[in-house]
Amino acid sequence: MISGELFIDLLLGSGALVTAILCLTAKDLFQAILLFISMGLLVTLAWVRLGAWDIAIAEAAIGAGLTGALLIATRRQLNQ
Amino acid sequence: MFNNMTLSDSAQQEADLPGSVLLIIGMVVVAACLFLAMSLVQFQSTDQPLVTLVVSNLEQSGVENPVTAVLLNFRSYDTLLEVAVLLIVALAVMPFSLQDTRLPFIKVSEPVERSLVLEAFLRWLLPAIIVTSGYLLWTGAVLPGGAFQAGALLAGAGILLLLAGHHSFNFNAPTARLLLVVGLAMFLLVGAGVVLSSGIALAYPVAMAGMLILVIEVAATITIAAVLVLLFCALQIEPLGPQPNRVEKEKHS
Amino acid sequence: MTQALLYGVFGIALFGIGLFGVLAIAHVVKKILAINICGVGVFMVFIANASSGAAPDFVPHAMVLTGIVVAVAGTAMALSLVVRINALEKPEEGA
Repeated sequence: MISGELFIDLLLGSGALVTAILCLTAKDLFQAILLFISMGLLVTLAWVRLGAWDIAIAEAAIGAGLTGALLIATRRQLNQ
Repeated sequence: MFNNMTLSDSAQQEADLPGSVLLIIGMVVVAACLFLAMSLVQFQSTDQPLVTLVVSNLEQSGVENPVTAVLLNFRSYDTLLEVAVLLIVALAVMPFSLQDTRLPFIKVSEPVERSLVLEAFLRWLLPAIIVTSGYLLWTGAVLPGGAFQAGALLAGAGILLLLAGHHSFNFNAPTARLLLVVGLAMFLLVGAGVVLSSGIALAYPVAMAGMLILVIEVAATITIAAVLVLLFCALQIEPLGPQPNRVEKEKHS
Repeated sequence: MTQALLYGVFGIALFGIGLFGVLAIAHVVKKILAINICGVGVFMVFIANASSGAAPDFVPHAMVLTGIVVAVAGTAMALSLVVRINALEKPEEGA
């Protein structure tokens, strides 16, 4: 019987892995970008679980927010 | 392997590496990961000298948040160089903008297409973001937070403002250039200034450490926000080089 | 199996996925995504290791915080190069 905390850790880690694989295998670039953002958010939760609050705040703002905005802006330029 | 890069949005060309090569790459990567995992399992870090060092010196750093203490006092060279890296990246993307240096930093214009929801939302959100960013900056001395988080939030506010379409930034304006360098300049100024009292660059006197760190952090926040917004702007505007609009205009005239 | 070891292994797996992506994928923007995934894996190993002791080690935390900001700056520069290359190549295709 695994404990609840270990279960959450396993779920977060494997969720990040699965979204990373889906991100790189996605056919559509937009899909890949959205999966990358979701991976960033899952990793943010992993930082919280590891007690790195400063990094969690920075990852939520930069890794998930700003990088996503930059990638979507790039995609728009590429599709013009 | 690196010759067949593609930019197209269609994914047909993705699998143009032969299967055997993919298999070899996969095997090498898996082997490397297994080796890393094995060394991670065997790696036992029993004593952590840095933990005790940080904790025992925390009182002299001027702040109570250990991460901020490490970032801006114990290892401030890292952060100084990081702000310098941001400035270099900003300089690298600057040539994309061809705007006139005499134009003002913020230009207000009628947007091409208005999105009323975003505008109404921003009216409430922008002040909240700016206040939150200031809070994160201030609380960084005691609780999680600090210059990076505050700068990233401010940059988010700037990008939202750009997306609404009423405002555009001209990063060639003198004000913008000031914003881009103020973080590094303040860091260097303080770092050099403390030589007078302590004799070592970036070694703050204990009594003034908290105040000096706050000054550096305010300047660094402004620079980080400005650089991140500039990076977004560089991707937004039409890049220089072939400019179809200009060619068309010349044909018409 | 401790939490630190678990996240360390996940970090290495993320690094591996990113490394494979960098080598195998032809699409340049996805290559950049893969490099970012690689970076996240490295950060995760760092932080997992920092949390392995009795008290968390804050020096890796500060280094990762610096690393995240530098990573986004590098990503943005790579993306702006992609946009520039794309703008240079487009007219040739059209002509």
